[in-house]
Amino acid sequence: MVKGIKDVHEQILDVLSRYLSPLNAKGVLSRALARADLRRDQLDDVTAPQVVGNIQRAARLFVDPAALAQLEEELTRLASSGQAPAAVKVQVNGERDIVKARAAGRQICEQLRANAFSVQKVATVVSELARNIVSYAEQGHMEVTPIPGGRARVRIVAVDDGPGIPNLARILSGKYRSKTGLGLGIVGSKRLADKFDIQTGRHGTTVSVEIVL
Amino acid sequence: MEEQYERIPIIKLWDQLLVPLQGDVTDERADRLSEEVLERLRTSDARGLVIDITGLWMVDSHLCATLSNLASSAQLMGTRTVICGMSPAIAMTLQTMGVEMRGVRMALDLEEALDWLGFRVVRPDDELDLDATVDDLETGEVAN
Repeated sequence: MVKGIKDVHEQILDVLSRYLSPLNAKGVLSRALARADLRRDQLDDVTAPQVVGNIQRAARLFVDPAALAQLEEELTRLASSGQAPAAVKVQVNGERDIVKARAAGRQICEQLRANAFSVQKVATVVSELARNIVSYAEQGHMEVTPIPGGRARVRIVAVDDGPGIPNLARILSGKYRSKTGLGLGIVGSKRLADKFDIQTGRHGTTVSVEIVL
Repeated sequence: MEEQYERIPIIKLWDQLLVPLQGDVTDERADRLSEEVLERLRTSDARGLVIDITGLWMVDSHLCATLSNLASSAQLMGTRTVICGMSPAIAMTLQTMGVEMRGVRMALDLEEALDWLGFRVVRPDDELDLDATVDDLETGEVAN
């Protein structure tokens, strides 16, 4: 992918040069490339996040701690510009779609370079909500939306037009136990969420969850 | 869309059964596995069952319930059962959700699971090695 006049390599070098001597900037970048097992010409929008991650780790040793946060932010912005992962919508009609949905959640988290716990939280919430659709509404859809930025987040929305949840209060109290599972799908998702909203009625249910990565 | 029906191996390890789970386990696969494992317990003379979940990338509450039910059922059949290899991220997630694995024996890893089932590592030359080490130490002390 071509990006304006300057390629990604030059853009990263420009940023680094503002924090390091030209020699050190080049050194840090080439080591980051080597560590990612990439040649210079393989550095593009897709591989940039990986390389930037390596640079950020190496930069901690070389860059003035006071300026480090600023550098990391600049690099992160650079790496995510133009390639912020797209939102993924998954139709949920059956059990196989639960797998598909949680894999999509995982992929988005990894593109946002989330840590293992965050990936797990997102994938688990997606899995729980998708299963509820399959078990109680038969079909619906899920949407996983990445919200990049300083505090990267993921929004998960599950929509179905099933019969609604009649015993929501009991479910949210955590006392409910389902026949097939632990009955923790919804309350568990709520506990994992940084923001949680549920609308349910006779014509369907919409659950919306936000998780800060 | 290609349907994947990978078989989950049920490995006989002397008088134990070892079930290593990997990748992404669908609800259906987990249910089928439970049946297969319990059937194998009935037909084999296994005295213990280890379910190793090291290779699972995620475990949600439903899979937890399935595994927990499998472990309890195996225990009802008189088989000591232990689940091992839960990653820190999965453990933290399940804990946050309020999932409990009551009544199920958990172990850090396969070694600890086998240890609990009574396995000990005994190498034929352990005693010799021990002597050699002691000798070395003594020689070292003398030399110093």
